[in-house]
Amino acid sequence: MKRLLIALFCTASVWSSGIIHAQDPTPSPAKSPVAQSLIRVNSANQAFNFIEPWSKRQPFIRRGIGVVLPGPHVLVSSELLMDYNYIELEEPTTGRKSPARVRAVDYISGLALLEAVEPGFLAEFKPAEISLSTKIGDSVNIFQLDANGTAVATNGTVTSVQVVPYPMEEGLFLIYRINAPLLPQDGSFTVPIFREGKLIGVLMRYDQRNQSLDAIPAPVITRFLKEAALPKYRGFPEVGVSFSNLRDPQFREYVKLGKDQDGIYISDVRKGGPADEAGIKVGDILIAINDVPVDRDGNYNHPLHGKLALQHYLGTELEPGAVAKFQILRDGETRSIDVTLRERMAREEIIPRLNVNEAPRWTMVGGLVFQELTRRMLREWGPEWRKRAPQQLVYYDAFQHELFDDDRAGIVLLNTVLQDETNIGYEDISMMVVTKINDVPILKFEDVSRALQTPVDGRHKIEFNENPRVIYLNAEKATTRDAEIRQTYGLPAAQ
Amino acid sequence: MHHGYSRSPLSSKLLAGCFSFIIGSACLAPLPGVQGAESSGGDLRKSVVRINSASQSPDYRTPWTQGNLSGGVGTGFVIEGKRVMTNAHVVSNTRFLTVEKDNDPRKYVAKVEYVAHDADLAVLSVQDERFFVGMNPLPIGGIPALESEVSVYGFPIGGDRMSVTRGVVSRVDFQLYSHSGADAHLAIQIDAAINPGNSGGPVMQDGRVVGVAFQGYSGDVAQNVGYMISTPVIQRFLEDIKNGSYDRYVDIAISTFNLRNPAQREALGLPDDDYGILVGDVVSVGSSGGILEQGDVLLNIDGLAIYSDGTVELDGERVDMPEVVERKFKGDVVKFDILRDGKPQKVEVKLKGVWPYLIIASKYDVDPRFILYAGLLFQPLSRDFVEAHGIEDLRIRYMYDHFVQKEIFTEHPEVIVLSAILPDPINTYLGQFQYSIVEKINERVIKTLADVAAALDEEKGLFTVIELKGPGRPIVLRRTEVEAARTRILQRYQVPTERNLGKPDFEL
Repeated sequence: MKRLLIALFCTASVWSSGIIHAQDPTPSPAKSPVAQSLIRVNSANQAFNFIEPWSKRQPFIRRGIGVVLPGPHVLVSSELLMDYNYIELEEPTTGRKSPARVRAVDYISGLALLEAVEPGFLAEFKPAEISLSTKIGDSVNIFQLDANGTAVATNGTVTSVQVVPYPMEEGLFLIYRINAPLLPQDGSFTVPIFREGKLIGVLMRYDQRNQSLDAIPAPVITRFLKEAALPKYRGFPEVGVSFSNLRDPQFREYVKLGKDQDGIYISDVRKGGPADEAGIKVGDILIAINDVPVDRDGNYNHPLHGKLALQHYLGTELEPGAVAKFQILRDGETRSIDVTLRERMAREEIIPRLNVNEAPRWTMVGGLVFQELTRRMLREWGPEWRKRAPQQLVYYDAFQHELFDDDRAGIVLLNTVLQDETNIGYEDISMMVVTKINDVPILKFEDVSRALQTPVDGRHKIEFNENPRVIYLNAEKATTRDAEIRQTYGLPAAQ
Repeated sequence: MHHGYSRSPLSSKLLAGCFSFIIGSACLAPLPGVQGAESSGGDLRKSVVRINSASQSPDYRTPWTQGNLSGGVGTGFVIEGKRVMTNAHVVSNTRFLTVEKDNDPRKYVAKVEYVAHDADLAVLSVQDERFFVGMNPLPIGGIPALESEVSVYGFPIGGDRMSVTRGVVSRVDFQLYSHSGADAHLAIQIDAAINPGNSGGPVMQDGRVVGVAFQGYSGDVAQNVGYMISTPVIQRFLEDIKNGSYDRYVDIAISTFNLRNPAQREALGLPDDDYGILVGDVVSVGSSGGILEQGDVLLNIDGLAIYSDGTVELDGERVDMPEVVERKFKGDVVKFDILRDGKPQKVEVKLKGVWPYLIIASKYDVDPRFILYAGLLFQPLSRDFVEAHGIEDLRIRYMYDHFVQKEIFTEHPEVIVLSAILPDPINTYLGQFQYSIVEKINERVIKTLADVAAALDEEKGLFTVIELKGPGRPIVLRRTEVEAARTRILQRYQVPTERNLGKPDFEL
């Protein structure tokens, strides 16, 4: 859905100027208060190429709208600056520009905070206030900038407030769903939403057919800003449990729940996660957190929105380091277990999922390109990567928490073979999982270069978890050929 | 022909190159007379028969039904012993078969005597002796030379009478036999179109059968490409059934790697010549399990040197090494000269079929196996199952794709999937569990469909507890309620029987 949005707005840029807008605002010489807090943000981005990790893809520019906040800082969506090389801020009507710096970025929640490099550049802007009181039925104004830099507002209505997966697939967060006939405009990343002059959210995705947009709401923005104000950004917290509802009467009877007993069944506890370390177990029934009761669908009662999924309370309302008192039912007895929340980003992944703006890690010897397996690499197979990428790797990615031993910290692939006389016969090998090099187990990417320092009998011995299981390179020859291979295939000099 | 095959979108994905059954749409232009190479073309034509089959192909989404009724037309030809040879796919899942011959208005009832789904061949009998009057059995020839001309006889779409087309032999190579989808044998590519209805027809040269037309590409993939089953495959089938039953093909069940890199050759103790291939994986329950090992170098098979590109010289031609095994039968022995840890050794591999591979083979002439319990449908993982359900679940896909290579069969001789839930008050909260893999039922570890039956039949406690692979809660069913729901579900969904345990693939 997110990709759809990008496509939509990219094409939109072609026909933005010269179009008569549906809601043509009455032109006024004086900017409206909201307009005074809107700024253009241009980001020159260039994605890494995870298939040919020695090169970067074609650069492109994304344009978006930032909201000036106290600081002064500029809030944008993280999507705008994904894989950025250079970001600049632009005063919408005068075109005055300043380079920008990233103060904090959180791809999980889709938000980023910038600051101007040029001192005083943001002085003339009016920092926006944030309102947390939006509820279903409220009318809101969605702001875009037209070609002249004039703020154009579209009216919309909040139709629902829900907790849903965010595009990075790293947890459930709150959204406002808003009905609005949004007109595609040039540079429509971010797209701020205001109510009565206060910022209530920024656009995350837009479904053109249903004229429905999902906004990253003020509560998520507020959590992000609180974190961004800290010396070290931590991000959103997590507890590391999965739930299953407790509606099925047969199952309720089996776990000996009273007819009126509320609560939710803990169906998974991630090994090494905060809940696991606190002693929460699969099968525990969570009945309340910090005395906030949990119903049998996993909802709690939110003062403004009524029933809301617990994940919003745990993952957005609380902060990393906070202690959540889990009141649980175990073996028919009530207990209370304190779980100390940790930031999601701290989670160590065997197959990293969040390595945005990070170059792929690779190394080459004798034309054999070794590379760390990451989610980003798998995504190179396109939106349907789960079907198209090598199935073994997709499976590793999906079930990494249950598949590997404790000592594994990464997966290394022999990505491809750059053909040369030294590796003749290996040209068909690609995307193979490397298990050992020179008899050294490869448990993380760093092991590769270490292992390559100790050839066995003058040969590099490389082992895989499938046919052919083992190949060899003449170590001396491989080393002498490397410079030429790099030159032939246009690889940068050795790192 | 092939009206009987309805392929799900997944299946065409699995077949990657759209290697479809004969579904080309281009009509064959009639050729004037069949002369030249076939001096006795008229006589030959008398031995070619038209086959009509009424069939029912099972639906793995409703495994208790008899399947969709369909009919199809194919071709066959008379071989020695008053038998009719055709493709397996012409007579698969058949309920009623008839054959017709030239200048005889009668339809004769036929019966399948032997069928080899892994070689896409079948032999039929016709009880009425009158059928064979005036028909000469066609002799089976050898492999035709490249660029030589052949004639294809059959009853393809485009008319009711026999059609003859001519083509040139373009390629002799291993091809996937798409009837099973799992077997590759020697096949011959010709540039005559092979169209629906041609299936099972003889391809002739110099008065001999040099192939049986069996598959092609659909018109939008490749044109003027038809494939015929080669005579070594035909001869092997005829030889195999001599003892009164058909055993499947055998396999050495290893994966190999060509040894063309000097450093690798040196490391394995090989001289700088052109011989030897590396053993990568050995299927533990296959013919070579316990005999060949990872890292062995194969140098010689049955006295034939193995080149480092994986070929051997057979009858003056370079062919892929497996062709040596292809021509053998269950219980035959293959002799290898190998190098293990640098030392020469001789080993013998007694050949057998390798059951785990059958998971990726389409099945015919058998009813789908399943258990229905409290509206929950349990089915073993198989190709037909995956295609019918369009499986996208990652766990199931992985187990299917890697069943042999990762030896998933050791832990799960059968992978049992909760594949559907027929809605009923008893299971109304269980919809989320569709496409889960069953791990335990009432504490019993589930390795086969028979285990499911045994676990469910055990009278044990108030509840049936079904544990599934991966995180999540178990399924819990109150036994008394299951009993009460039983007839209700069977009646409501018109399920005649709640179990077909059938015969599994595995040999333990």
